[in-house]
This record gives sequence, C-alpha cells and structure tokens, in this order.
Amino acid sequence: MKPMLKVLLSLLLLVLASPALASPLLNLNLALDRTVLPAGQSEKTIIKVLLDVPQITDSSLRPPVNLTLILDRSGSMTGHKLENAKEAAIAALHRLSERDLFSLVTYDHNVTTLVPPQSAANSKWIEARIRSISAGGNTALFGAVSQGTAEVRKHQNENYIQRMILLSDGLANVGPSSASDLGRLGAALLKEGISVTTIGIGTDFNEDLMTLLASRSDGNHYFVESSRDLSRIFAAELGDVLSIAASKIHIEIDCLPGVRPLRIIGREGTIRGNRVQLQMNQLYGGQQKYALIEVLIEPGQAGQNREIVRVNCRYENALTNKTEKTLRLASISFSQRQEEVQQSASRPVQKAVVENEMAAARDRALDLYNAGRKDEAVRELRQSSGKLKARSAALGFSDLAEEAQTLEEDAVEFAAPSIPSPRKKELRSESYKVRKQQKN
Amino acid sequence: MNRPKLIIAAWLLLLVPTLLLGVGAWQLLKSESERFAQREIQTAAARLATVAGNIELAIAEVEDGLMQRLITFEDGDLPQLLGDWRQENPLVRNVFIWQPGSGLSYPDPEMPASDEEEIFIRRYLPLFSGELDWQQPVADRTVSPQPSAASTMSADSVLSERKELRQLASKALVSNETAAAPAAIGLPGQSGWLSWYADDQLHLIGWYQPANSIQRYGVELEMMALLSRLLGSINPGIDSNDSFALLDGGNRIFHQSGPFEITEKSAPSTSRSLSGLPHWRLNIYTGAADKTPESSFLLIGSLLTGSFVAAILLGGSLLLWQAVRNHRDARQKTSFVSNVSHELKTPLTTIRMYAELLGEGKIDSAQKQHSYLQTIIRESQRLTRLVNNVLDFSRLEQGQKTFNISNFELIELVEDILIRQSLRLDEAGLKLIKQLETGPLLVHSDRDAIEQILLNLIDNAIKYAADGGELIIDLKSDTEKIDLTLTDRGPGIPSVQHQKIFNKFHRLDSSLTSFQPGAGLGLSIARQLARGMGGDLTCMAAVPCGICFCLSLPTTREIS
Repeated sequence: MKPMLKVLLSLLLLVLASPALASPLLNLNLALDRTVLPAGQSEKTIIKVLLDVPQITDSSLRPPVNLTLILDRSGSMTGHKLENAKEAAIAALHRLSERDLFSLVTYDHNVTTLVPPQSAANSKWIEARIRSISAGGNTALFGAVSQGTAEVRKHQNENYIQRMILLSDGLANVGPSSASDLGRLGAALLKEGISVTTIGIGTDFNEDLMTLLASRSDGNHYFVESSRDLSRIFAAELGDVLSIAASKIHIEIDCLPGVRPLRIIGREGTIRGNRVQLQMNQLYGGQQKYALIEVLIEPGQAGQNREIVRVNCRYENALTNKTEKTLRLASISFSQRQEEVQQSASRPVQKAVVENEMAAARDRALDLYNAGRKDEAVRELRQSSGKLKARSAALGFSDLAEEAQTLEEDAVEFAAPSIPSPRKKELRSESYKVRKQQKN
Repeated sequence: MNRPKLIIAAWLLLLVPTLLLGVGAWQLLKSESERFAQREIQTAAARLATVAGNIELAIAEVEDGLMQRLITFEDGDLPQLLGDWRQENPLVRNVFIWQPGSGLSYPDPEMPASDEEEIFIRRYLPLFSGELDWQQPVADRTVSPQPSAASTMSADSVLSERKELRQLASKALVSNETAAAPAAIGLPGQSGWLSWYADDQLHLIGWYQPANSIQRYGVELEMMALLSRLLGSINPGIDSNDSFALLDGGNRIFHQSGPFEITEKSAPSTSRSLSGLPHWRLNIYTGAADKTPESSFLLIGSLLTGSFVAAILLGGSLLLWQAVRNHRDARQKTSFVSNVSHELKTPLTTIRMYAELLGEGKIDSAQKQHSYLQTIIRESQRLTRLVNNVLDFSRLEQGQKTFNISNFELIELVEDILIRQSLRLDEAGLKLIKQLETGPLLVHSDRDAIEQILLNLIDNAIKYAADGGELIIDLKSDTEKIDLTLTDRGPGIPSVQHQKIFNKFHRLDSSLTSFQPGAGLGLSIARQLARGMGGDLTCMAAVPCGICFCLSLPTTREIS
C-alpha cells in the first residue's frame, strides 16, 4: 500500500509541477477592434484570437514528417507539366531528412502506390521510381486521396507530422467529383490529424474542389499557372511542413454573460450557444494565425470594465509530443466619450477584418457566379464593399476604407460577360491565403 | 468387277467415322472451352463475393462499433458527449437528439452551430419532423440473389458464417451493456440504421432509443470517410486480369481498380449489390486478356482436330486414287496384251496362208505368185511397224528412248515417205494432196522418229478416214517452228476426245474402233516422240469435216 501511495504522490507532484516547468509553446493573444465601447447601447465588436508560434531554431528538434505525395499522371499532364512535377518532387525529397518518411501515390483512372512509406534516406531508389512515371488516362482524384491516406495511416500513431500533397491539373472524372464530397473527406482527415495541401496546375482543375479539400483538412492551397513554378511552391510547402511546431489545435471561445457570439469571419467553426469552437491542424514556426469572431455585447455603464470572453487553447506541442493548454481572458471598457472610443480602435484588427471580409465576399461571389447567379454575385461584392468602407471610416481608418474599395473593382469584373478561368483560380487562391493566413 | 465398289465402300467406311470423330472432338472442345469460361465467371463471382463480403463486413463493423459507442452515452451528458465524439471521430459527420412530438433538440434547429448543421437539419427534415417512419423498409437491406455457383456458395458461406458470429457477438454485447447500465429495467433499447437518399447521394444514419426513454439520439455517418476507407479492399491484386468497379446508386463509377479502364458502358462479368450500401453495386470485369486462353485453347484444339481429320481423309483418298489407278492400269494392260496379240496374229495368219499356198507349189501363174509374195512382204512390213511401235512404247515408258539427231532435209524425207506409202493410200482409196513448201527446209531432228510419227498418222488415216477420199499434207514454216499437218475428210473425233486420244491404250470406244484392229498406242507414241524432240503433236477438228493432226517441230536456227 505504501509504495503505491508514493507513486501516486510523485505523479501528483509531477502533474502540478509540469506547467510551471515549461512555458507554453504557443503564444495566445486576444485583441479587440475597439477596447472601449460607447456606454448604454448594444454594440457589435470583433475579437481577434491570435496564435503566435516561435521560430524553431534548432532543426534537430523538429518533429519528423510523414509526407505523402499524390501525383496526377493523367493524360493532360503529358510533357513539361509531368517533367517539372517530377523534378519538384525529387527536390522536395532531398529536403527531407532520414528521420522523415516519404511515400508517393500516382493516379490516372487507376491508383498506384509507387513508393510505399519509407525513410527519405533511401532517395536513390525513390528518385528512380519518380523518374519512371509516365502519363496517360483519366483522373481518379478521390481514389488517389483515399489511397494516399491509407499510406499515411500506416504510421499514424508514431508521432509523425502527417501531411499529404495533392497535385492535379484536371477535373476529377472518375469517382466523386464535387467539391462538397472532397470537402467532407477533408473534414474527416482533419479529425485524424492529416492535412492535405492541394496544388492546382494550369487552368483546367476544379479550384472549388481543391480549395475546399485543403480548407477542410487545414492544408495549404496553391495555384500554379505554369508548371515551372512548381519547384518554388514545393520548397515553400516543405518550408512550412518542416517547421511545424504544434498540431491539433482546438480553440474554445466561451462568451461570458452579457455577450453573444454572432459569427466567425473568414474561418470555419461552430457556434453553439455561447461557445465558439475552432480547429486548426498544424501551426508552423515563426508564423502567426488568427481567428476573428464577431460578438454582440449588451449595454454597459460608462467607466465599467467587463470581462467578455474566455479563450481556451489546447494543442499538441510537436516538439515534445505533449498536450499543452493556454487560457486568456478579454475585457472591455465602456465610455460616454466618443473620442475615447475612437482612440481605442485597433488598426491591425480592423485590417484583418477588412482583408478577411473581402476574401469571404469574393468567395461568396464566386460561388454565386459559378451557380449562374451573376447579378447576385455583383450585388454581394458591392454590399460588402459598402459595409466595410462605412465601418473602416467610422473607426477612422480611411486607408482601409480605400482598400475595401477594390471590391467595387471586382464587382466590375464580375459584371463583365465572363471571367477568365485563371482569374477565378487566382481569386480563390488569394482568398484562401488570406482566410488561412497562408504565407506563400 | 466389284472391286471399285469395294474400294468406295472402304473409303466411305473411313470417311464417315473420321468425320464423326472430327465433329465429336470439336463438340467436346467447344463444351470444354465453355466450361472454362463458365468456371472463369464462377471464380470471378467468388472473388467478387469475397471483396463484397469484406466491404459489407467493414460497414457492419463500423455500424456496430458506432452503435455500441452510442449506447454507452445513454447515462451521460448527451449533448456534450455527442459533440465531443463528433469532433474526434472521423466517421461521425453529425450527431442529433430527437424526441417524437417535440422534434430535434440537438442541434438546435433555430440556431444551427454551423452551415453543416443547417444542411443536416434540412436534409433529414421529413424524418425529424415526424413525417416519415424511422423503420427501414425491409427490402432495402436484403442482399440480391447470388449467381448460383458452387464456389460462390462456399465463399459466401464462410463470410456469412463470420457475419453471423459477429452479429451474435455484437448482439450479446448490446444486451449486456443495456442490461448492465440501466440495471433496474434490464430491457435493451431500440436501435437501427437508416439509409437516406438526399441530393443524389446516399447517407446512413444510426439511432438508439434507450428502453426507458422516448428520446432518440444518433449519428450520421461520414460517408466519404467510410467509402474512402473501403476503397482499399477493392483491389484485384497485382497479377490479376480482373478490374473491379464500385457503382453508386446513380450507376456512376465511384471507384475502379484493375489493369484496364472501365467506363459506364463496359459490361461486367458479374455484379453484386452490397447490403451495407443500398442501391450500390460492385462489379467485376474480366479483361480481354483473360479471354485469350479459352479462345486460343479452342482455336488450337480445332486446328489440331481439323488437321488430323484432313490428314486421315487425304491419306485415305490417296490410297483410293492409287487403287483406282492400279485397277485401271491392270485393265488397260490386259486389253493391250489381247489387242497386240490380235494385231500380231492377223498379219501372221495372212503371211502363213500365202506362204503355205506358195509352198504347196499349186500356184502356177507367175503374176499370182508375185501378188502373193507382195502380200507377204506388205504384211511383214506391217508386222515390223507394229513391233517397232511396241518396242518404242516400252522404251518411251521406261525413259530409255534415245534420239538419233542429225541434220536433214525435211521435205525430202516427207516426199520419200509419201512415195513409199502411195501404194497403200491408193489401195485405200485416199487421194493425196500435197501442199509442201518449195525450197530446202533443213531440220535438226531424228529422222526415224519423224518417219514413225508420219507412218502412224497415215496408218490412222487409212484405218479410219478412207471414206473421206482425200488426205491433205501441208508443210509450213516460220522463224519459230515448222508445222506439218495431215488433214483427212473422215468422220472426225468428238472434241472431248481430242486430248484423250493421245493417252496410251486409249481407243475411241465406238463401233468404228471395234471394227478396226489396234492397240491404242500409235498416237501416244507419236506425241511422246514429238515432245521428245522438242516439238508437239496436236489434234483439232478440220473444216468442213474430218480431223487435222499437226506436228510442230522447232526450227534449227544455227543450221538454217
């Protein structure tokens, strides 16, 4: 009985001491678009939940990566595209270390695992396999992602950073081909901690499908018009993947009494009652990610300082493989004086809001446009532009109001008889980068 | 006399069984190859059943697993537990709590937490509003009848055994759980899985109702995640010739795997429905490459049988032909011997009769004696010609005939022969008309052979065309050849016989020939001699009547 008690006691001590021993890896910060609100009235305000990840200086500390490359080898890839893709894949392979796993799945109407998961140190053999790829056939995109997932899963419980890179230049014409189907698959993969980065080459791929798959699984998305840029994109992607510092990030924002969550700007999440939940799969060192939440605050008295939200962040420290938690509270003051309210306005928050609202507006407009509702798309852009301009001006940021004016220019573009396919892809990809704070 | 019939009967005896054997063998081959193909389909069906069984089992396991997890939530904080579960489990798309009458309580239909939840509520509106019954129509879940094949049955029985065991196990578990948790009641709750078609897609929703409650809670399966995991089991293997395709409820290819590409138009070898996925089908396609062994088996088998039959028939026919020829030759030789004997006997009898008359010394008249002696000489000349013919024939037959080639004047030779034969021609009443070219015509040939040819032709004219009254001899030459023609005004020869008369022992089978003696050798020898010298002897009908024989000889340039 006594030894048991000792063990229990020491365990208890360890649990109590551990948070004190190591400071959390992630730096959680909260910012408001105005820290002072006009007293006596219900006000909408925006909370920016900021996640800062420090740069990992010692690369030997970085967690090993389990990378699966899914390469389109359908008929449309013939020629330069495939050759450049192969070169980029080989270059990516050489950036991995011997601790990392590399696997390669190629697909046309059939899906083949060309390189089963193995150490990247075996680069000679892998390189020969990559060079042997030839093009031909249809595009079984869903099957390819499924098989890629199966390859990743082989090492799922071994503390690897799980990542798939899907490269395609065409429409999925074998199996599920709708953006929503692939989006559902992406959502399921996110729960397994697998992110899919999608790279669309040329002008023939389905950008909705590729962005939704990446978005739901919290990967990156790149639009590459010319396959010559592939090497650069792969390098950027590898740079991200090889600096992952935290994974499986859950953010819970509890609104305290007198505060009601209204919506999440830019990102996807759930609002149930007074709780907002957000999820990110992987955070890269030296990067900043944020989420914007709009809340409605009940009237307060002048001079009152009130706590409005409590934010919990739970994540896995990829360097130590331990779950860490941080907590922050945000509070707000009320004032009768208009200038005090005006002075408290935060430019960075409003800038993020403008950028994200614009990106979201463009996405909605594209959805409407693709559904054949062109007029509504144009109206959507104009309305968003108007709202953002008014709000920025009210907060005293005239330059941000000007930025919001670009949506008007987009509206003109949408009103034209047709939007060229590369432009649509560019719009989608740009919106994606803003909403997900993707660096490259 | 019966021998030809016997031969034909023997041939028929060979022919009929051989053909029967051939047909039988081919039938056997065909049925064998059909059996091959049948077995191929059966094994394909068995493979399909295995794959389909694995898929069904996987779905059943997923459903069971989720259901068991659902049951454990019974006593907890349902919204919290379900919400956490949804966030963690990749196979859970949505969760819900529902109660008859009051409808959905989680997620809140008034305030869905996300777009996904809003769509979820809309998707199952008829169900959650109580419009539709929660019980699954029975037909939806039954497996379609299997192609009856022994191998399929065995594979199926193994799978169904596994399934039964599993179902048994999960049932026991369910009752244990429910019995253990609400111990007071001890009754298992109700549960079920429901397939739901919305937006042209299949959705699966599972629900549980505790025994002591009217509240139902459940889960919507993340179909894409489930299907994505199932695809791995649709794998024909590396060396397989089969391709598999999973077709969704709208008959679109969801996934395909195998060495060749499948389109929606491809015809599957076998198709199977999947019990976990209503209206979905799993098809197997055996490739074009797969069919080659059977068809080549049939092809090679048929070729072999065909060549055996052909060889037997050919051999038989060859033997038959040989037998018929031997028979004909034997008959011809018999008739030849009798003909020759007869031919020899006639002049000998004459010679002997006149010689005896002279020997008795009773003939006083010198004129008569001279006449008798002339007859003896003529008949012995005839005898000589006959013997020469026979000798030549045997030499020609054995290929031992040697030609005595020399240069000589042809017209001179012809004139000479005609002068010597003029008496016989006159006696026969034949008027000789000569149309010979003037001037010398040197040939390089065998003098005796040409003489023998001409004698044979003149003999024939005397024998058969004496009635015609004239014999025209014509000699023409050009740079290529020399043509010597003998035309009579006799009864002629039917055109069908124009070739046959040159065959050895052949005689025109008519009253005319039976009246005249002969061995059927003259023309045959004449043609062989002509050809042996590089020329030819041909026969054609003359105008207006009679027959014309033409002896062609090559000109000798170096001499001329």
